[in-house]
Amino acid sequence: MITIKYFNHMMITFIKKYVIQIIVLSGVIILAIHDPRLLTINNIFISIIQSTVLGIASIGMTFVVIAGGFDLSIGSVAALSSMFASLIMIATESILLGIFGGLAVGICAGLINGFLVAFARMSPFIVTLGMLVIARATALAVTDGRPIVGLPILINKLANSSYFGIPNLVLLFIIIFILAHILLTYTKLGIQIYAIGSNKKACELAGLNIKLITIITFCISGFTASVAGLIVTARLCSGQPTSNTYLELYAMAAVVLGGNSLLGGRGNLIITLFGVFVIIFLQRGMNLANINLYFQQVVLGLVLIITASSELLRSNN
Amino acid sequence: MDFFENNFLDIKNISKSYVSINALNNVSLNIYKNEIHGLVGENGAGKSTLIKILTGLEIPDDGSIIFNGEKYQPTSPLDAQRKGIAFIHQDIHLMPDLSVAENIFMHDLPHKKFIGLIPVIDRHKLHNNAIGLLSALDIQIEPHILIRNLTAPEKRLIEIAKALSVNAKLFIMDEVTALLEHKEANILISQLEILRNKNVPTLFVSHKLDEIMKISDRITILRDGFKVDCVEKAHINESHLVNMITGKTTESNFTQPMRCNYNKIKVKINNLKLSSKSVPFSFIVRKGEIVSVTGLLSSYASKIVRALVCADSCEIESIQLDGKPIHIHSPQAAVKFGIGIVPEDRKYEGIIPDFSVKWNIAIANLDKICNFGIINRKKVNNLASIYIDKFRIRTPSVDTNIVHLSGGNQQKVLLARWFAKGTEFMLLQEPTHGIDVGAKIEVHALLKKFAETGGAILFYSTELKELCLLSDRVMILRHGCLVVDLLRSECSEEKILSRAAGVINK
Repeated sequence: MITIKYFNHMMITFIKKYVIQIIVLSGVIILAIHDPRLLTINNIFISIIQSTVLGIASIGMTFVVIAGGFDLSIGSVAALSSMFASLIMIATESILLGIFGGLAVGICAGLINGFLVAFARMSPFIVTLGMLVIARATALAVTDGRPIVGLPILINKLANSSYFGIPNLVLLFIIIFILAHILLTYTKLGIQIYAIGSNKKACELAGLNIKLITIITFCISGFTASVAGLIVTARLCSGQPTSNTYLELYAMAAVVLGGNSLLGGRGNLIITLFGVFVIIFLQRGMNLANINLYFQQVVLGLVLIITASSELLRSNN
Repeated sequence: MDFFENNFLDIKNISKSYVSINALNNVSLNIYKNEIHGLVGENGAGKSTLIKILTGLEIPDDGSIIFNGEKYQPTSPLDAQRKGIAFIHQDIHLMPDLSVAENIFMHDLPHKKFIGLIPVIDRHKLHNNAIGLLSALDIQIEPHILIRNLTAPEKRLIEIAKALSVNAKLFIMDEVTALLEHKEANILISQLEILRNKNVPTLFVSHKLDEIMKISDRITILRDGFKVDCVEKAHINESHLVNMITGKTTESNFTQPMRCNYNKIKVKINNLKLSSKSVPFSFIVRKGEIVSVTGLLSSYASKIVRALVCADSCEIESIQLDGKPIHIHSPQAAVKFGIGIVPEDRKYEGIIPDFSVKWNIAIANLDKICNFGIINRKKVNNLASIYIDKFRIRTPSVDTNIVHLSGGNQQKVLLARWFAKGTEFMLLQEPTHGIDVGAKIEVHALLKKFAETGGAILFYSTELKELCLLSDRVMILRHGCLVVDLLRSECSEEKILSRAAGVINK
């Protein structure tokens, strides 16, 4: 009797805690029943390749969120680094220089975000909202809104080939994920990121360099955003100033859907990964069900708002 | 006159306990319709709990309150207000971007009809009402000025005017005169006297004993959650009152000898200026010495600890640590120089709430538990276990979340954080604030042991007992200036209280 009661109690707490996740997952299941193609091996394979862009961007976002902030600028920063990388590749005909240039743009954007948040004590909302507009507008201004074509074909080959049957992009995602996971879980910096997200004031009095740590998290986010931008560039073999729109929305949705606390201090990358896959399958499922792209964005926006609000409501109680 | 009709507020046998502390034990208090009733007691005596119950912030465990002939059980501050109790708190709650007049009449702005239809604020009437009220109170502040542009005492006066503009049946004033100058305090006192003559009583809480003696008709004294006595002003003098608050006659409780093995100066602070008006002062803390700072709210004594680590803006000419001049521009720098900080607000500035006990200890010791930036989990566990045993921190395991521990054990974790680091100079604020008696003794023992092994301690406290039990030296501040520096052998609870309150000691 007691075990059944205990089991029931556990079930209720579990359902209460993950009600939104359960609803979203059932949405995916309904879509899968509606169209069995969603769960074929082939489709899963494509989904995983597709998830690399969102997955890598969400890794950076997880760092910022755990440290108690958020980064609205990642979609624009991805586009900006894509444009810069393309320009450098065309000018120098060197893929490597292009990649480094693109990554540098992302890290610089993160540096500016982090510096303003840490030293000017501005809200991450204002800073990254400003960066969102600036980065996107710069990307558009560079070529007057037109895509940059004529990149070396090799970059496209790199993106589409595979090692031992594992696509390069998935390999890249796995490497970045493992490194990020180690950084967050097993290093001094990782524990400091959790700590400042949990209680900034206490960390300051405990002698932590909260400004530096804040800046580092934004730099990581800028770095992963630029990687996401470079992947899109390589796959399309062109620099697209309008690419990765709403990437920040999807990444935030993945991070909160996984169950990371928007208040900071709690969460990890594995649950982010879960959130990424749920979002990707939801998107693919809606694509297969011929649901209008704009309506898909409405659904994802709703998922973000409802998940975030349910978390805040819980913490208020 | 019928005595019972005069018994306006009647608090009967109220008790309230928190997790490990009995804040109020069987306290009774009655207020007559035509009196100003003083309420005094040390910090932690139960004054604020009693006020919280009266204003609807806490519900008593036991006992009853009769107010104006009816049973009184407020569910919220708003409810208490509706029932006729006006409360002025220590902190100022005014809207900085609205004018004086708007703030005063916020609850009931006068309206008129624009073109006979749309209700708009009647600014003319508002202005005139404010002028009327302010001049009746003899406050010289223009009603159209924004609150933002007023000084702190002026804001306090506006807050008082606001409270007086409501037709309340009873006023509760909690330390309202703490930041007021004499002249302004007198305005308030004369107003309260006028109200008393109109049969509107006041419950007046203050640490300033001279003021309490001047203003109150009767005084209730609380100590450690018990009511000591309720006396009429005519039957008591100040030193008598001090004895009742501290619960001791002038016999000394310093059986332990003063540790005199210290001679090396650990820290020397030159010309610390706590507020713009105060006179700078210098002091030293020696190795193995426990020095305390205390004073009333208006003394700025609470700023001293934070001033040293530059978390608040204060002026310090120079600091010398171990004879070498150092420059501390942030708490981080202070920690680098081997200074440990234990803040007063444990919950918001001390613990890291999402972390386990072991990580709360390890967070200031990351260099000890990491090899090349990679955490060694075994070292974290060892470090935590050592201090959990040593400090007898009562926790189910090293992995328990810190928020599940009692306040006393949380405080021990914070001490462990610094002791593990090998800190040589500790700065503490209210080291045993809100923790139970047993844990207090343990925390005191830990701090004494720290000093015996050569550590230097500077702490701020408002608990008289703690100041006497723990310190080798007590520095008493008034209005940001050092009044007196008492050695352990010459300090007593009464002496500290009377010097801090500015009572002249005969």
